[in-house]
Amino acid sequence: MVERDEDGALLAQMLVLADRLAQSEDALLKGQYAYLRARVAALIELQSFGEAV
Amino acid sequence: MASPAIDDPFAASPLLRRFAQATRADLEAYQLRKVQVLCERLYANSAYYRARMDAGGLRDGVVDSLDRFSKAFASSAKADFLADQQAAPPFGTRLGVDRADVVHISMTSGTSGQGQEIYGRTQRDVHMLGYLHALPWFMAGLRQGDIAINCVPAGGMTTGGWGPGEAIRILGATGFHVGGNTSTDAKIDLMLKLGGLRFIYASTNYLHTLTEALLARGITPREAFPGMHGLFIAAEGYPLEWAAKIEEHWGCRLQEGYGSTQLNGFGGSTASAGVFRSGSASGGERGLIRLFEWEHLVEIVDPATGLPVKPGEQGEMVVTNLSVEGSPVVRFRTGDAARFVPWQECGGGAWNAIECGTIGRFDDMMKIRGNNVWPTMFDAAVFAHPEVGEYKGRVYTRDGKTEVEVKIAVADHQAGLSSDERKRLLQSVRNAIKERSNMWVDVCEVPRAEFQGFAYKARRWTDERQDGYRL
Repeated sequence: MVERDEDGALLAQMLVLADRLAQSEDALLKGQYAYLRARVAALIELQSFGEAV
Repeated sequence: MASPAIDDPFAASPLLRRFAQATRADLEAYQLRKVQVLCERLYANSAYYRARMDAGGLRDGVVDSLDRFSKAFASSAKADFLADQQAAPPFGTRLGVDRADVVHISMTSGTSGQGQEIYGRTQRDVHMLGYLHALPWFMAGLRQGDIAINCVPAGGMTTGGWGPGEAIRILGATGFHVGGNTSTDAKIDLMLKLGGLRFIYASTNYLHTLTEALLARGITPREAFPGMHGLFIAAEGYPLEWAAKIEEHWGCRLQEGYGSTQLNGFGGSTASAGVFRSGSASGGERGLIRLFEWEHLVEIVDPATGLPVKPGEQGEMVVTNLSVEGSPVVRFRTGDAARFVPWQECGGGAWNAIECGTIGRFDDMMKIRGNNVWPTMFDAAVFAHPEVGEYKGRVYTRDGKTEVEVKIAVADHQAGLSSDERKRLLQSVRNAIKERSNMWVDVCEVPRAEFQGFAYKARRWTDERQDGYRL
C-alpha cells in the first residue's frame, strides 16, 4: 500500500511536469511530450483501482 | 507545375533549428562524443564489438577521433552478423544491453538467401524507431492532428512494419495503416470518405499504382485531396519526369527518404525541399537526401578500397547508428550505392547529402514491391528443377504495377518432356518462387536457343521499371 502511494505520488509529480512539457512550442517535440504525458496518465489510471472515483 | 513550398519545419521547431544551425565542427564534435559513449558501452557489453575494437587497437573502447574510429574499427557486413547470430542465437553477441532489456525485435527480410539479421530493441530504441520516421515526415509536412495514410504493411517483424505507426502516433497525427491488407480501390474509397487527408507514405512503386488507379477512376488527386502537405516515398528509384508528373497530379511536394533496419528508421530525407534540386524547376536536377548526421554516422566509401569517395562520386554507404541501445550497428557495409554530395555543395546547413532517386546496390539485390530480392533466391527456386536448363528474369512495370517475368528453357537432355509435363514444370517453378520470395511471378517457357552465350548470373536479370513510370 505504501509502495503504491509512493508510486502514485511520483506519478502525480511526473504528470505535472509532463503537462508543462506538453505546452512546448516546438512542433516536432510537442506530440512526443503529449505521448509521454499520456503514458504517465495511463499509469495513474491503471493504479486507481480501489480509489474513490 | 512547380511544387508548392510547405510550411518551414525549421521555423516550427527550435530543436530542428539547432540541427540546421550547427557548424560542421559542432556536428562532428557531437558525433565524436556519441561514438565515444557507444564504443565504451559496447566494449563493456558486446563480445562481438569488443573483439573488433581489440583487433583495431581501440583499447578499452577508447576512441579519440572520428578519423581513428573509421580507420581502426573494422566494418561489418551482413555475413558477419549472421555468423554471430548463428554462434549465439538469437541476437549474437552484439547486444549493448542485457538480454532482458530487449522488448522488441526487428528482422531483415531474409530474401538474400543468406539468412535474416535480427536486431534487439529496448524501450528507448522503440521510441527512437518512431522518431527516426517522424523526423523526416515532420520535415515533409506531417503535423499534429493531420490524417496520414500509411501504405506500407504494418506490424510483423520488420522495421518498416512498426516505425510508421510509432511515428504517426508520437507526432500526434492520425494514422490509417492501409498497407498490405486493403486493395487499391478500397484504399481510394477510404481516402475519399476520410476527407482532410494530409500525408501519404508509400513505396515509390505503390505511389505510382495509387496515382494511376485514381486517374483511371477519373479522380484528379489535387482536386480530391486539396489539403495534402506531402507525399513521402522510399525504397525504389524513379525518373525525374515521373516525379514532376506526380507533383502535378497531387499538387504537393514529393519527398524521399533513405532508411533501413540497420539505421532503425530513416537516415536522411529530402527534408522539406522535395526531390528537385533547390532552385531548379520540376524537370530539372535531382534533389538531395540530407543525412541526419546527429543520429547516424554515414561514410560513403569506395567498396574496393574502403576509402572515402570524392564529391560527386558514387560510393557504398557504411553506417553507424549513434543512438541504438539494443543491437547497435557500427560501421555496417550496407551494399547501398549512393552519389555523395558534401555539405558545402548543399546550399546551407552542415549535413552531408546523397543524391535522391538514384540509390542503387553494389551487389545484385533488387527492390521489388518493397522487398529486398536477390537473384540467388530465384536461382535456387528455378534450379531446384533438374528439367530446367537456363532461365532469365525481367522486372518491369505494367498498368502501374511492378511485375516479374521468368522465362525458363528446358534443358536439352530433357527435350522429351511432354506438353503436360512442361505445364506442370512451369507451375512447380512458379510455386517454388512464391515459396521463397512470397511473390507470384509470371513463368513461361522459351526455346533453349534464346540463351546462347548466356553464362553469367548478373545477366539473367534486367530491371526495366524506370521505363514503366509514365503518367
